[in-house]
Amino acid sequence: MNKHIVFFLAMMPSIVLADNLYISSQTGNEISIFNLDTLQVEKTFEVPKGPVSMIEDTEQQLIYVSHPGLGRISVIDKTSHELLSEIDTGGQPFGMILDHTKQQLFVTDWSRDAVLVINTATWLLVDILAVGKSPAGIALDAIGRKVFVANRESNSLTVLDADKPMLLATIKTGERPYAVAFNPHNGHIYVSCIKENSVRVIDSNSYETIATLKSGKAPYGITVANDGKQFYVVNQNDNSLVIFDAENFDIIAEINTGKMPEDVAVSSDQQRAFVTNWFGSSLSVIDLQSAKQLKRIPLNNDPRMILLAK
Amino acid sequence: MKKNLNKLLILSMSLGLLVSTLTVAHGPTPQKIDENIAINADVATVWNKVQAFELLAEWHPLVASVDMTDEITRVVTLEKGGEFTDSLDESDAEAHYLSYRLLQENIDVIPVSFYTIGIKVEATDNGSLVSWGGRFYRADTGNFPPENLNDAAAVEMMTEYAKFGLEGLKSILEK
Repeated sequence: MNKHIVFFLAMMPSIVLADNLYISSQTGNEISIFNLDTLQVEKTFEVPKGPVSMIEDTEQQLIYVSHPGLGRISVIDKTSHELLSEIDTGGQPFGMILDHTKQQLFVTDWSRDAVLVINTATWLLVDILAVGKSPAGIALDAIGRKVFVANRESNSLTVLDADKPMLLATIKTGERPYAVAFNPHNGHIYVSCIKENSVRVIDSNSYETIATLKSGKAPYGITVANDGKQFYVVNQNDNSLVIFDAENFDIIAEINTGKMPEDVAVSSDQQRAFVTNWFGSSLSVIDLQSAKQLKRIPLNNDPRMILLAK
Repeated sequence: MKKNLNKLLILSMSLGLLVSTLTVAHGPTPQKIDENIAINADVATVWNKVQAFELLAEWHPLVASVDMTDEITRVVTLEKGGEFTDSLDESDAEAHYLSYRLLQENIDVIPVSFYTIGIKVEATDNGSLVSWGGRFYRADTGNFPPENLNDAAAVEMMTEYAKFGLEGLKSILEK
């Protein structure tokens, strides 16, 4: 790196590279980049048809995007937003999680009841692992080396070994499990169960269900705070975001969002939450200290998933 | 190499694909219904009609009859024939909001695999505004749906059903 640049950065400790949100529009075939400093959509770029989940590869400076309707994952350059490659997986690739330590991408395949494993160094599909019916959300315990998969039509959570093709456990969940998040600070797995109107808390070591939390109607996206002390759930049929205490499972706050929220992301400093409102075609910006919606920003075409990227 | 590998894997999975083409929701793009109508009647009067989950046939011109199988489950029989089942999720008398979901689909009469619908009544200067909104998925959730079971077919039927419902509600209340 240029010495002068290093010196300059060292002199300016207050300059921190801002995070961005990447927001997918499955009906609009586009991704919008939302700047967390200016609270504005900075850029919207076109991608192949029907983008849903997005994952950032910080080492390769790439974004992977799943396209269930195309049976494909596209690889996009993070700077130029150019389409670098398309990985034809077949089936309906939906949720994704990247394993940085092994350069592998785990992808749920909705229509083939499987998890696809893609080598991110070669962009080749290297394995297809059987899981339950219609797998949706997926999460990774990078240290404990486990992958968690919510099987929406089987009402179960599959636990896979992250290093070898091995099934470790199948855990019963509430009806219609959808999103999964892992809290590395306490080893808890959170699963939103759409039809049960609940979030199941499962211990990743004992596989016991610790709690069934009433979050609201049709819980969808879940995310965990950086410090692991709170987690956040949006309720699609309540138009709300719920903040849970990760230790005692109390509801800290419930905040109104736009219509039919889909996904939630929380800034790394844990000051703000961002919610895509699918029906309302907007983004709610929520202040977590005051537990209030600061503003609601209009977006194009039914926004779905959010990726918080550097 | 990559192509061959993929082809092999896809071939080996094709049996699974055939079996699971008609699973419920999420793989395909969720579709939106967002219709509304102004009705020259006060909110209480309109809400009174809307909240009666079991009396849909009174005002929906496409519906022949409704049979309740329990307090929150209705079997809807259409005028053109064919039945499907709805399940009530919420009836909020304060917010004038009713929501329900498709419990048992019948893709021969309504080509969707799943929906959630919310009907809301709001006061306006001249009476009420009724909105009919929701989210649904096409009947064939696989990636190669025939024309009668694709997104366009689902949107067309859901829009028609909502529009007829809203117009039926308006005509019975403005009589």
